[in-house]
Amino acid sequence: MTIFFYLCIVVSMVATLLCLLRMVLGPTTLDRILAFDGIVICTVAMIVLFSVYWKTALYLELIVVIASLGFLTTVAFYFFLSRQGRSASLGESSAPEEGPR
Amino acid sequence: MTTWIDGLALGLLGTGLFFVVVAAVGMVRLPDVYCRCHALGKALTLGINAMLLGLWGRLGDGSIGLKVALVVFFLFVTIPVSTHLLTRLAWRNRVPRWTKDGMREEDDSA
Repeated sequence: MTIFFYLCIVVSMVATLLCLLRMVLGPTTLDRILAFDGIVICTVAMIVLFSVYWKTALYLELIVVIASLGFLTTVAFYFFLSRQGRSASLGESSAPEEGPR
Repeated sequence: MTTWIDGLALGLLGTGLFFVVVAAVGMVRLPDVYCRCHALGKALTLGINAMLLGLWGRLGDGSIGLKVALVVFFLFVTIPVSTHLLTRLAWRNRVPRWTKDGMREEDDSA
């Protein structure tokens, strides 16, 4: 049981690191938001693994809070980016000459 | 009886973890935003819901089932909704999409 638990924790850490790699590499801003959503769900998976190992139900509220925070940040980014132009969601710097000269 | 439910719970947990890892590999390997939304919206939903059902079987308490059902319902609704929002935003902003001939940018008629 303990060996199985350690294996599951290592595998979910690998999944989180893969999502983090996409967050670093991602060519557009939408890729990074999507990778953040994946990291939140992998965190929920790690909390599920810990509460299986400790055999407690204390952390179900924590799961609800983290999942709703991830969904709210995604919706907030959607409403922010839908008011910006096309270059904002492509992740390009739109007007570099706008800075102070 | 108890060992049967424990075995089912561990099986569900392993299956769910497998699908979570498949979704994470798809996040890295797939070529554009739409394909990554597909990987995260389907495989990750299935995986995390199977893991939560495995947690319910491991705890083995009837009154926990209501909270687990709440979390399962919430995740089952919100993950596809958020990926659908991102795909809609990408399609509206004409993010280049992957075809067999390379990346293709949509024209203004989209």
